Amino acid sequence: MSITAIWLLILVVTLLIAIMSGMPVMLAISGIPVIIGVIAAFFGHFDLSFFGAFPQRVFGIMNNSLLIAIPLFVMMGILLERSKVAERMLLIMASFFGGDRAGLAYSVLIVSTLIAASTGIIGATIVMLGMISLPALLKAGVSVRLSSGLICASGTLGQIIPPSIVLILLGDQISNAYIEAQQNIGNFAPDPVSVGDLFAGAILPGLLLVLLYAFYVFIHNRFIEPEPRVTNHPISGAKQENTAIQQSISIQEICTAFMPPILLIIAVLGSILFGVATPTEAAAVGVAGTLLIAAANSVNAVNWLKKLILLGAIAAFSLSLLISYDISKIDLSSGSLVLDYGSVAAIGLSLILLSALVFSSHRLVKDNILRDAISQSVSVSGMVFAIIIAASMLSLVFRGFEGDEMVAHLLSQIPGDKWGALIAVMLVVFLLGFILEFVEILFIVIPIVGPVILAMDFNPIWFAIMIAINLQTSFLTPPFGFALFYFRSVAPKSISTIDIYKSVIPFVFIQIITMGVLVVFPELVTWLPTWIFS
Amino acid sequence: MHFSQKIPDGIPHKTLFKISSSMPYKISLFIHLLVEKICLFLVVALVFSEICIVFLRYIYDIGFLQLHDFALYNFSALVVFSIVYTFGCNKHVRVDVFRENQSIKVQQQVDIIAVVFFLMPVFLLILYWVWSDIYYAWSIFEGSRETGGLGGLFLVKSTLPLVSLLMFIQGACVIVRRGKYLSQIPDSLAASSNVEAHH
Repeated sequence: MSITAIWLLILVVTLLIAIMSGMPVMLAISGIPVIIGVIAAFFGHFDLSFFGAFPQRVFGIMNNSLLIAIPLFVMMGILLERSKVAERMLLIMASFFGGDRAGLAYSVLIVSTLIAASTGIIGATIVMLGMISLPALLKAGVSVRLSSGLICASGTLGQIIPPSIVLILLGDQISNAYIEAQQNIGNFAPDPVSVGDLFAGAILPGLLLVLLYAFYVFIHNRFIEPEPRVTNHPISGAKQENTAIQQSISIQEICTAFMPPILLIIAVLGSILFGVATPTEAAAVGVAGTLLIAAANSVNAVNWLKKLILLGAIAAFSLSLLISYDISKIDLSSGSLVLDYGSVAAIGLSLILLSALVFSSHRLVKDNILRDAISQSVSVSGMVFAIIIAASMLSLVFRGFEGDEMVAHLLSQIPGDKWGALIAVMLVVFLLGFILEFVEILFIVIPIVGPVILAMDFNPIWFAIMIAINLQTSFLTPPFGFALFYFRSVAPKSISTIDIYKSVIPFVFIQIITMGVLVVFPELVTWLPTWIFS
Repeated sequence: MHFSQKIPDGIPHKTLFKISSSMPYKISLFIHLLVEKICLFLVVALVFSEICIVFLRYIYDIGFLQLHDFALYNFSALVVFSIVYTFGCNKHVRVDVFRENQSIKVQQQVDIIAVVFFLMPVFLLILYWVWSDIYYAWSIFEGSRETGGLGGLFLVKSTLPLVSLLMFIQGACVIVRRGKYLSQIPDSLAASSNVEAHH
């Protein structure tokens, strides 16, 4: 064993101890490398000038315009959660299906898919589903086995269905790793991998997961438990009056609850997928749209404000039509301004949209929602940025001890050539998912193993999606999956933890089957990105 | 994300600031509130400029490099300032498998160790190595990398040493307060502020 290998071992062991001690993870993964580096330097085994590169790395992170999308998407998610849009969708779906248990189970799946497609935060989704839909599901006779598993699993869909924060961060890391891998094997002009590629690549696998979940619900209701299960679970009281299900529901109510989020999803996802907008620009569109939706849902919103918001939304969509059919002749870049009907309409419509935005923001400020949403998104983003910066310190010192070469060497020793190495990496990511959040895993593991794996002729988009599904699986797997902790915190005491564990196992199998399908048919991932961006 | 300890809701920060007699707590709270204001401003400016960028680009087919730089500078400052804010809220993610079963005393000891051995060295190290970059940036009044972009990049870069200093002070306050984070108000205040919260 070489001397650097011993230092690496000390680094990894002390790191694990520090992380498990319960201190902030960002302090552990930035501090341990510094301490170990300084001690090793005393013995002459580490060059302290490695640290000199660190400020440049931090500046690089501060200057990474891809990451701008993160605070914006986080803010969008928090605003949507605060405005109770998803709660209303669930309640309306529940009353639409009445006592039909299969219908209710499908509706939970549909609503969580919609939430997943508009935000990427999983904890809040599971908590909300657990509080609102669990009582309704149990009341309709869906067994604990099906309902808890379904809620945990569909609550994690936000990680894989774009726009997801996991995919944005993965896009950043994978493209760096891919470029490095290609340069190492002599290709100095590799095709870059973009976040848009990953978003496009994740859509079919994400929908496949949803379909398989639905298939399981179908099988469960038909064959495993053909009779409704009357369960007697006292449901925690706080939310009970909210879950009172109306008997009749009109088409209009369904439309007002579902149309705004669906239009928002089309605007955000569509603009990224059709290559019109960057993820950051799409996130800005998302925040603007969410401001409108949240203000319209405010209890204090007066009638004229609701009408103005409706007009603003109509204006936004007619504007995009005007632009795409070239009716508006405004092109300030060439200084030409033809004042015909189209251009005047465009100016008028943008004024309507702007005033709707201004009045919506004003309403949310008055309601004390906006300030809260901003500070909450600052603290969530701060957590993400701190981990990114700390992980770059870790990878700096790791490379200082030549850890990257050692990992490459280890991976090449694994039998079964490239598939063996891939399985080993997937296992490590899976196990790390038990103790760490995805940000830490992505920024610690991908820079180290990414260049090695991607030099082995794996498609980078495919590899990224496999990592994303793998992480999602890890968050679902008992006994340490994060999703289960979130669900446990809202589930009634009468549902035992063992019941929850048992209930998610079929879904873990579905995840594994999906990964298997992607190995056999990698086109499911790669086809859409090439079709859209070619 | 485990949000266990929060600054108690319902008590205005200003009240806490006035009635507190503990100096480290006051300093720490002052920094936290200042950083909160800065972050609020940065997010609003960031969202506003990004919406403007989208609007101008897709509807009026025009873009300003300065506006792009303005958005990016706001974001850059937000990246580092948000870390101080999150630290003040005690919302940096922890692995609490074992922490749940630790006594409060052990938890506070772990936090002191984390600050002394990890937080302080890391941010001192940044302060030490960033100096030459900052000196150079100021000496040429470094501006945007793009020609025609916005000036003032040297100010944006200076946020890194500033934030390192703030983190150092916030860490020192945690040590002086024997491992209590800002989100845990001083014992002397706990009783009186509970009363205020009920009013």
